[in-house]
Amino acid sequence: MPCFSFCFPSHIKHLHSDGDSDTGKQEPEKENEARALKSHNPTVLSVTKYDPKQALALFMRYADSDNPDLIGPEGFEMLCNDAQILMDGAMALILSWQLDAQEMAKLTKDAWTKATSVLKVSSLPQLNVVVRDINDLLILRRPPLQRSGNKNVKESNEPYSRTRYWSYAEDSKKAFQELYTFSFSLAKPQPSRNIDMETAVALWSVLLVPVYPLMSEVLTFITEKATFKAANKDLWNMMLEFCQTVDTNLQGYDSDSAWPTLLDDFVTWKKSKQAS
Amino acid sequence: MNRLHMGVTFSKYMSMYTAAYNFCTNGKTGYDSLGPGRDLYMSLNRYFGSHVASTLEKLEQYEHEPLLALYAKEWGRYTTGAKYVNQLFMYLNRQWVPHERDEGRTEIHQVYTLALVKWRDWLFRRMQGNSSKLAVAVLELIERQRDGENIDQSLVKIVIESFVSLGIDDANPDTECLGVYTNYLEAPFTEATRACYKHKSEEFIADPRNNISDYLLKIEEWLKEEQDRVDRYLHSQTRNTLTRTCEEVLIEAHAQYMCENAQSLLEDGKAAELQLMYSYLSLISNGLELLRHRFGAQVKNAGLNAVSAVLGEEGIDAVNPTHYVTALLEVHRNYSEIIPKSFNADTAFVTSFDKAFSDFINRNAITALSRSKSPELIAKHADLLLRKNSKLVEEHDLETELNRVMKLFKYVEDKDVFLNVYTMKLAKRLIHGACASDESEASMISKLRDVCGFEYTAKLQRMFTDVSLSKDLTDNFRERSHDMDVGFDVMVLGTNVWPLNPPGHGFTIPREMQTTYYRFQHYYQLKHSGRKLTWLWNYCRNELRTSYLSQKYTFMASTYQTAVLLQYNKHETLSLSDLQTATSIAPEILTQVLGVLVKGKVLINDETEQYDLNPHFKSKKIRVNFNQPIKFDAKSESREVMKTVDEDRKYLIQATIVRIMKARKEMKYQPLIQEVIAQISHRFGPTIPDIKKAIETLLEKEFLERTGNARDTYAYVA
Repeated sequence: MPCFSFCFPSHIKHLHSDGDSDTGKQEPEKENEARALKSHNPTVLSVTKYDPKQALALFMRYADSDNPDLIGPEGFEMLCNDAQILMDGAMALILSWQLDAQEMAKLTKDAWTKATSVLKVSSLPQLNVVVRDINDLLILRRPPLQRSGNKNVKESNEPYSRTRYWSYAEDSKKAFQELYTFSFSLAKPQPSRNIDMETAVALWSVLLVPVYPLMSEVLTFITEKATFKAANKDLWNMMLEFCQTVDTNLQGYDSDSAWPTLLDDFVTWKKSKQAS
Repeated sequence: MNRLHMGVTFSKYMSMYTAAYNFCTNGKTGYDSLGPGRDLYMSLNRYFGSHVASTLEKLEQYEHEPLLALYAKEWGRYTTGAKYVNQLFMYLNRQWVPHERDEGRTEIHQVYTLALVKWRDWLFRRMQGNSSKLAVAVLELIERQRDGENIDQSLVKIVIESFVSLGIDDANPDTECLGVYTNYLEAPFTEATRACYKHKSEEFIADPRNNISDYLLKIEEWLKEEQDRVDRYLHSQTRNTLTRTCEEVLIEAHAQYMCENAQSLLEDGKAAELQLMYSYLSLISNGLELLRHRFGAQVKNAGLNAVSAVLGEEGIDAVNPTHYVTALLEVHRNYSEIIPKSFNADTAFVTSFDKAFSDFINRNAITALSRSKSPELIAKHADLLLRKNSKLVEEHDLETELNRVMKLFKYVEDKDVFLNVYTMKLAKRLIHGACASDESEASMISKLRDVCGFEYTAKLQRMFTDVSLSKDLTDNFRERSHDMDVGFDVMVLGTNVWPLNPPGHGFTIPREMQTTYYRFQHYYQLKHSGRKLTWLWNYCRNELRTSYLSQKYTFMASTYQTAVLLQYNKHETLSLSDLQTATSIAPEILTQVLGVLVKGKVLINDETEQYDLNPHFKSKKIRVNFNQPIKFDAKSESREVMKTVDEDRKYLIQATIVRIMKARKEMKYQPLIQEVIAQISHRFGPTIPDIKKAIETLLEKEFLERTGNARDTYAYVA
């Protein structure tokens, strides 16, 4: 059984394959730190107040040396490392989403300025909390944070502006849909209409597999068949729909329905496997 | 009443009538306030009563046939007597009885009717009682007649008539009332009939000496016998019930048996029996449906068997197109003829036939091995027919044969495969000048156009145009180049119309041919600048005259063979690699080219990879043909056809979807699939995954999109 995981390409060491041992193990102390950070109670973090100048300074710290308006892949990875956001898994996707990234592992100054002012974020620990909150809510499906009784009084005590978070918590299905759709356009190279199947599989493994157990079977099918070259937008959208409609015993699937052929083939494959 | 044979004289009749009259009009004698009529009527009532009672006593000692005989006799005498009495008391009938009835006393009857009522109530009903002796005796006789005995029919007739007569409606004595007949005779008769024929039919069918034909004829016999029975002694009311009962027992109960055995009749082509069966089954509900189902299954079965037989003999790669087509036509002829002959030209049967036929023509033992084989074989057969010197058919029969091919063509689902193979074969016929007649070619194309429309045959038409334009072109070129020392014919064929591919390898044009080559090239470019000529060397042929032998021969050779042979103008012996360098022909083809020349003894291949010119070549014919099709080509050609077909299908499905969606703007998945199938099935039967893939492609290219929240609905993106 192959193991799927998604990882932003590491540009510091020029590693592309998630199968390479380095990605996971290169900096064990960092990973430990990340774990430690995860178990932290957010309120323990030192709450720094949002300051636009600091936010900009933070951007400049990671910006490309030859293009001060852009954080490139190397800067992005450093940013993630420093904010203790794991590159493999959904966290880096969530960060890109929250910071309005247009391309994989790239952040523009304009988008950064806008996003940080909405989130009221100007430090790395704040960024970390933003991403972890959403990861808990949408990927790990933990119950949403409790809103304290009186908004106005306590708001200033929050590590960042949770306005967005509360709207996500209100309709987490819609929020997940947003993240899911965003991930496709992020991973899609500009002129192309599709993302290659390898990338798609990696994204599905971090976005859908943790939530929908059937998805890991779909991914096994895709890798076993090895005939699918790319995922188009329709397949991408329908995959989420499929996960939401069909359970692990294929209840909810209807062969007369307009599922993409890949999913029809998957169902046939699964049924014949069960039969034998 | 007991001395009827003595008759009554007129004077006696008159005196008795007068006595009755006087009695009624002379009120003095009456002691009853209701008048003298009533006294008289009551006396008559008593009189009839006592007579009937004594008759009953007599009858009760008998049963079976003797009972019937006596009953008939007594009945006859009683009714005749009663008629006399009726006449005598006519005055009573005219005056007193109607008066009483007007008062509402419906139990008072005319004298004759009174007699019948008495018979019915005091004799008939008692005798029938619980044992229904009378009806039993009648049924016994009928049963014996059914078993083939001669019986006294008049006896039965009289008794049954008495049943009819005894039906008297108290309120309306003058109208016929069949209550007695229906209850006492018809009902038990129907039951007896049912039991009798249930037994008889089951026994008949179980008897191994009888087959389905016998049974069908037997039904006819039985039904006729029962019809006659109605005419002979039953009331005509019984006809419908009786017929219905017989149909139920003889046909409906054995419909399954009949249909199951229809197969043997179909196999043996027994038209008359099938017609009988059809007419019987049409009498019962669902009967024809059963038969039709059987018929369809049988057609399909026969077809599958015929195809398997053809395959069994020859194997998938060696299936002879003509054998295949003949086998299909044979099935078609056998079974389509039955419909007008035996099934009343029933359109539902025609539909079943068409469905079954199309089923096995498109899915059989041969297509199971090679999906596109069925239309391919039919197209190849058409090619064999249309070829010059076809041994299959006399010229005047060609049209008939082509019509037969069309008969099958209509059932073919993958009409695009047929077209591809047909186009390929037509191309070969045209470039090799192998058409039997232009007229037949045109006729075949117009037949195809009639079925599939103009678009279907457009390319075929263009091919003919290209050929005739090429003739003009050749003539024109020859005129301008009259100093040329070689004959030259050329065909210029449109790339997008002709299914011909240039060789996949290089070819070095032999020096001897180059002049002509460049000359034509130059001529053509002058005429049509901007057009690109690609030379299809693999389809060219040449004639060579020998000068190295004592006898002058003409060799007909392919251009590849020519290129090889021309090398020997300078050399007597050449190695394989020499030849390959000189001609640039791909090695696998070159060896085949050489193989033919070696076999024809023009070249000698004594040492490996070395070919010498044979200086002692001899042949009985002056013109020697070496130009044989190369095997390698034939196989890849068939694969090529399927590849183009698949490509064409993809685009056709996509184009169809776009056309539909452009018109409808928005459509649900299922109706869209149905519509696509409906629009394309005249070309081929698209599979649902194929259509789905096309939809996916169109979604990807953003011709379509799924509408907002409905997973199953597509919208056209303008």
